[in-house]
Amino acid sequence: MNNPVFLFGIGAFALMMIGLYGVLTHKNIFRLILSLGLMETGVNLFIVAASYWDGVRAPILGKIFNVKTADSYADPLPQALVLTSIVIGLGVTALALALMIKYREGTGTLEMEDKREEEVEE
Amino acid sequence: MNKIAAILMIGIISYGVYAAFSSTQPGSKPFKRKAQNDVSRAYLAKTVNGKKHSSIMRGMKGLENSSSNIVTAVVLDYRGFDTLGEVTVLFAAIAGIGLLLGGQKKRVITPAGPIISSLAPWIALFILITSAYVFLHGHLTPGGGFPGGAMIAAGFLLMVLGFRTKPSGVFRMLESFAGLSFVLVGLLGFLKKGSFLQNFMGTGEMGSLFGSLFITVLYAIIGIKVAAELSSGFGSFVKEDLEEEHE
Repeated sequence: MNNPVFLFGIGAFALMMIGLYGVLTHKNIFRLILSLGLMETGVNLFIVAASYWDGVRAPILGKIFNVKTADSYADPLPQALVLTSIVIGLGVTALALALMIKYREGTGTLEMEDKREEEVEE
Repeated sequence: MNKIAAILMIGIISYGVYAAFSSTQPGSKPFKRKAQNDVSRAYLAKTVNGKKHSSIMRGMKGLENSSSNIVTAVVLDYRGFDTLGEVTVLFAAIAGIGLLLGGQKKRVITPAGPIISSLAPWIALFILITSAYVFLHGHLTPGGGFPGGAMIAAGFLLMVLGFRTKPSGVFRMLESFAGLSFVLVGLLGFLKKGSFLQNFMGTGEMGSLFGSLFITVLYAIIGIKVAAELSSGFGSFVKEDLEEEHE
């Protein structure tokens, strides 16, 4: 339980679940985008945590790198993939915000409502 | 009702993930494994093309690439094509923002207060210097073109806040130019070495600043491209902000 990697995993999973809860329960578009961002951060943290285990160093070679001790470096591949994931996440968030601004221009509100449902209730 | 359904769903997903990660089979516990897969080992030891070294020292020559930062080596040297796709995704997102928020009405721009407008150029200057450091040292230290470009864009945002300057069309040009030069570098690799984005500038001493010129050039291009893209993206939003303020 005291393993930092375990804590990273739990934290990443908690972030993902908080984001999912937000996506499922909120109707404000800005909060939806924030929740998506939280989920994305959780996924990124999870991938980075999977590349890490106790006592490893960052995958930056120092003065001497011995092939036999390759396991004392963190796995560089997930980290390179997370770089891609972060950039794509930024693009998605920015585009979603732009769409949100357009939505607000058109409707004057950020709340998502189903108009048909209200009519039925009335 | 919604909330209860959401909590139920989260509970089911949590149980699924817990069951997947607490399976008792050997090798299925990702946070307890010691051995890396062979691909990552080959990246770390720079033996992807089959040339083997028992150890790699700083200042060594004739390696596959002379980048100390293995993540940079993976991103730009081994998987440069993926990075081209990544840059394209960013380009598409920013172009979409420009399409959605473009064509706004022109507004009178009011300058900010004296504190911000007198300090912004100096802070922006230091941000620029630091970001140039970050992307020139991308193969030696953590960092590289993406964070460096984001920092330049932050400096630009500061200037926009300080002076309320209109973002000009120069950024669009710079962005297209950088994207084109990325592809051109890739094509040069194809013409000289036979495959797209292959390193055609040779490798120098490992761990020296200009030892891996190819990575430095690519990261400088990416830095300029990301900076221009994020700045023009901010620009689209800022125009919107100003318009709302004056309504």
